[in-house]
Amino acid sequence: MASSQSAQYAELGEVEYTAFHKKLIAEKERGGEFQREFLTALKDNARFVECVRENAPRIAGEPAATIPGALLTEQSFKDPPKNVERMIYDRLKDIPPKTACRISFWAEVTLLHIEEGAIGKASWLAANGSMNEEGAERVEKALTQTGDARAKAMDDCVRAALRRMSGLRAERGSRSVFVDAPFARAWWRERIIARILERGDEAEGRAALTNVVRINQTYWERLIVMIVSRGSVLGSVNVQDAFINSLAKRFKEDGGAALRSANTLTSALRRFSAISAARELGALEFSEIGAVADELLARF
Amino acid sequence: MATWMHARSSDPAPGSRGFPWPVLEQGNSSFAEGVYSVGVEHSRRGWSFNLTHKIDGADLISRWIAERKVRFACAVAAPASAYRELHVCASPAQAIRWDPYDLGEPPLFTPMIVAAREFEHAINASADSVSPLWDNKVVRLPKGARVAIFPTFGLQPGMSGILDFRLDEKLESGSFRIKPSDEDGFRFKVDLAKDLLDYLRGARKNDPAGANIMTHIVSAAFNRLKEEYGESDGEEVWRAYPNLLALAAQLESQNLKHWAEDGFSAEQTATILYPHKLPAPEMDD
Repeated sequence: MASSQSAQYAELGEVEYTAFHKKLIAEKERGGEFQREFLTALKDNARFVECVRENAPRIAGEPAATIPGALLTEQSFKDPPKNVERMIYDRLKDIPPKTACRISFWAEVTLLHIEEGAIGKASWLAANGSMNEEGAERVEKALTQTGDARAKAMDDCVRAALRRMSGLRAERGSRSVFVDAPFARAWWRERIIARILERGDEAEGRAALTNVVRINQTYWERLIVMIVSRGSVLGSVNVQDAFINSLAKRFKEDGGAALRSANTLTSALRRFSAISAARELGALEFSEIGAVADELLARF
Repeated sequence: MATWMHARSSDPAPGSRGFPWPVLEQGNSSFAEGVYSVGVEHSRRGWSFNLTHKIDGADLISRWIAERKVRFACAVAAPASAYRELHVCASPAQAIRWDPYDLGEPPLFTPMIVAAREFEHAINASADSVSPLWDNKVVRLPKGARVAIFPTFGLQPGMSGILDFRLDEKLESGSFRIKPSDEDGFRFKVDLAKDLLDYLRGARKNDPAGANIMTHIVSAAFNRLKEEYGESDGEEVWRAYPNLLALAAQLESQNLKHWAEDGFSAEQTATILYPHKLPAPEMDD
C-alpha cells in the first residue's frame, strides 16, 4: 500500500469549500436565502454543480476515476452494496490517505459523478438516511414548508446533502468524511479490508471482514471514532487491523451475537483502551495483538 | 546539531495514571529524580528526523536498557488520516521517517521506551532509584509495557502553538510581557495580567478584542525573533530549534519572509497570519 508516488488529484479549494460549509450551516442562514438557493440548485444537476463550483472553485489535478452510471440508484448511492463499495475502492485505490481524508476531495468526486450522470439526480444527496423518503421529495417539502418548521426542515436538508457529498467536518469533526459520505466511507472500509487481507494466512477472509465493517452505520462510526481521535486506542495500523480481524474471527466462530451491538463494542474498546494505556500494543507482532484482542473479546 | 527537550517526573502533568510497574513520565512519582530527554535533529526534507533518547535519574530503566530488556520507540501519528506507526529501535538513536502521502495533518510524535519481551523484576527501591512505595514489589512487565513516556509533540506548531500563556499577578491590569524560551524546541512564555488572561481564556473564537490581543502578542513575538536572529552573520543558530524551523517552513509555505530574511516585517507578518478583526458596524434604525 505504498503511496509516495501519488499524483496530485483534482479537488475543490479546501479553504473555500470549508467556508461554504460554514456559511451554509451558520445559525443566521437557517431557513434563509443562502440555504434556499442551495436547496433549489439541488433540483437541477447542472445548476447544483455550478452552485458548488462558484463557491469553491476546482483546483486543477488528475481527475479521480468514476464508477459507471448504470450502477447506482438513489438507494444504492445512499448505502452502496458490497460490490459497489469494492468497485469504488478498486477504481480509487491509488488515492493517498492524505487526500482521502479531505472533504474537498470527496466533494469533487461527488460532483464528477453528478456531471457524468452516475449520480442520477443531485437531490439524492438530500435523502433521509433512515427513511425511504426520496431526496427530491424532501427538498421540495423543505422549500414549501411553512411556519416554524421551515427553517429546521431546510437546515436538516442542507446538512444531509453536505454530509453525503463529502462529509461535514464543521459539524461532525474528522469522523464525518469516514462515516457520512458514501464514496469516502466505501474507500476507507475497503482499504482496511485490503490491508488486512495483505497479511495472507493470518487474515480472516474477505466476507468475514466485510461483515465487521458493514454491520451497521453506528457500529462503523464507533470503530472510526476510536481510530481517528487523538490518542485513540485503535490508532496504530497494526492494532486496527488485528482488532477488526479478531472481531471477524469471533463472528465466524460463534456469530458473536453480543459483540454485534454497538454498545458492546464500545465496552470492549474501553477495556482494550485500559490495556493499551500501560502497554504499547503497536510494539507487538500482528499475531500477538490478535491474541490480546481474542482474549478480551472472549469475555463478551 | 540536535535540539534537546526534557520531561521531568517532577513536572506537573494534566492527569495521573496508575501503572502496575514504575514508569518515568511527567507527574509520575515513581522516579523522583527521573528525566527523559529527547534530541531532535531535523533533516532538510520535511518527512524525517533523527531522534535520540536519553534517561537520567532512573537507574532501573538505564539498567534495563543495558540489559536489552527494553527498546526505544516513537509513535508517529496523524489521526485525521487514520495513521499511526510505531518505530522501534534497539539503539537510543533512531531515524524516524514517514510517507507524507499517508498524513492528512502535521504528524505528532510520542517517544517512549517499551519492554522488548516479557520479564519480571524484584524492585529494590534504593538500588533502582525508585520511590520507596515500590520497594520489595515484584513486577511483571509484558512485551510492549511502557516504562518511559515522553509527552507528545509536533514539529509544525505554528506561532500560536509555541505561545505558553501564564498568569503574572504582578503585572498591571491589561498588560503582558513576552519572553523567548530555548526549552522544548523553542517557545515563548507570555506573562499576562489576570484580567487579560481571564479575557483570553473566555474569549469566543470570533471575538474582535480577543483576536486583536493575539495579533499584538504574535507581533511582539516576531519582533523578538527579528531582534534575536535577524542578523545571522552566516550562522543561523535558530535553525537548531525544531519549532522555529517549522514556523519558518509555515511562513515559506504562505510566501512570507522569516525573521532572518531581508524585508521581514514583524507587524505585517503578524497581521497577515492574525488579521485585525473589526467590530461589526452599528446598524442605524
